Amino acid sequence: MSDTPKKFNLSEDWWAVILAFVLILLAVVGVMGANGLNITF
Amino acid sequence: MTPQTNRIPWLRILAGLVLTFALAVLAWWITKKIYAVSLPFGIPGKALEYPIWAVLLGIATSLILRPVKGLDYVRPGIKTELFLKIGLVLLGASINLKLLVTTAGGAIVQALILITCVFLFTYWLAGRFGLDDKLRAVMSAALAVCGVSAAIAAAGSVLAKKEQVTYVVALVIVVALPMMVLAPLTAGAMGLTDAVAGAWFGGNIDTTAAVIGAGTIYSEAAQQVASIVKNTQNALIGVMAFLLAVFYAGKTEGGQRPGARLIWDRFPKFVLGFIVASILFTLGWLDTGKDVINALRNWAFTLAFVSMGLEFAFGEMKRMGWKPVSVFLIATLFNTLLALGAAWVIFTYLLPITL
Repeated sequence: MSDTPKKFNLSEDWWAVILAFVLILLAVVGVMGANGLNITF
Repeated sequence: MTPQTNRIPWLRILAGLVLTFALAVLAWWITKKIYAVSLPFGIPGKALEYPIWAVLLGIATSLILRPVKGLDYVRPGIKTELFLKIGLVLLGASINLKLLVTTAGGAIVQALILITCVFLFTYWLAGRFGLDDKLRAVMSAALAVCGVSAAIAAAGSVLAKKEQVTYVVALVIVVALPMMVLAPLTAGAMGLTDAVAGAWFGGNIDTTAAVIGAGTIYSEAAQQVASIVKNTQNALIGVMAFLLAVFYAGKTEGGQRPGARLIWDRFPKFVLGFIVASILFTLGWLDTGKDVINALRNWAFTLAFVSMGLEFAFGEMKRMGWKPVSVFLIATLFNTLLALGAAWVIFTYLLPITL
């Protein structure tokens, strides 16, 4: 058996979940929106 | 493997992302321009929703880039699935599960009857026409639950091909347009009450914009009922996505039932994110960012649709042929008649509501 540590790989699904919750957090704390970075037309 | 082939092509990823974002901005600019326009037969411009423009821009750009090998260069930056899944988790953050408990009883009963019957009928019919299993699931979800969002959610759950999602989304939007005008005209000719007419529109027409449009044409009260019924169906997206994910992850292959580990590996994890986001929204924890989250969701889906257009394979579409259109139209007719009967019985006799 090899002693090489297994490379940690995050699937695209988990990346999507993490990125979505980061965006939700930024929206809730107001970094994005009318008083921050406005992303609505 | 040599270090050369192992290197991540950052420049190509960046080029792909910049192209996708630029096209998404253009798609929204066109959408907003069309919103202000009134189309023939009194159809509001809002009915031509953003996926149409996003996909068309993507296809047009790919036709320009393909001959000069430009598409191959930017391909590492075209992240269709990632944008779709981000959009779906954000969609979860707009689903109020409380609606399933507090809404008028009739809306729940109708939604459960329609979703179950229309899904099973469409799935069965598509099977008779020999359609691919994943296309069957995406189409059945779109018709039974709520059009574009349900098609996307189902596609994520069953790992459908991009062309299958594009095909179904195009059908949903194109068929919803005439329905939006014809349904209120028919309801008027039949003398339906506001409650029955609204419940019929909400249960039958696939896109939310077209449901609201049909209700608006009929009456303000019909619009309210249509909106409640539609939102009740929308609230069931998560349940449908979860059940489809479990079903497809547990499907037998080569006569062997997969073990728990394989089912978990196949299970699309974004569905869990969707459910957690719905719970947070229902608890009222996301209220302050509600509008921004909705805008972010639309951006994510626009990016996904632009990417689908860029990667669009005409050969795959040609291979699917006219059979999916036939299935979609027959199932729409079934949905229309069943929704009319269910709305009439439920909102006239079983659980009438006062407006």
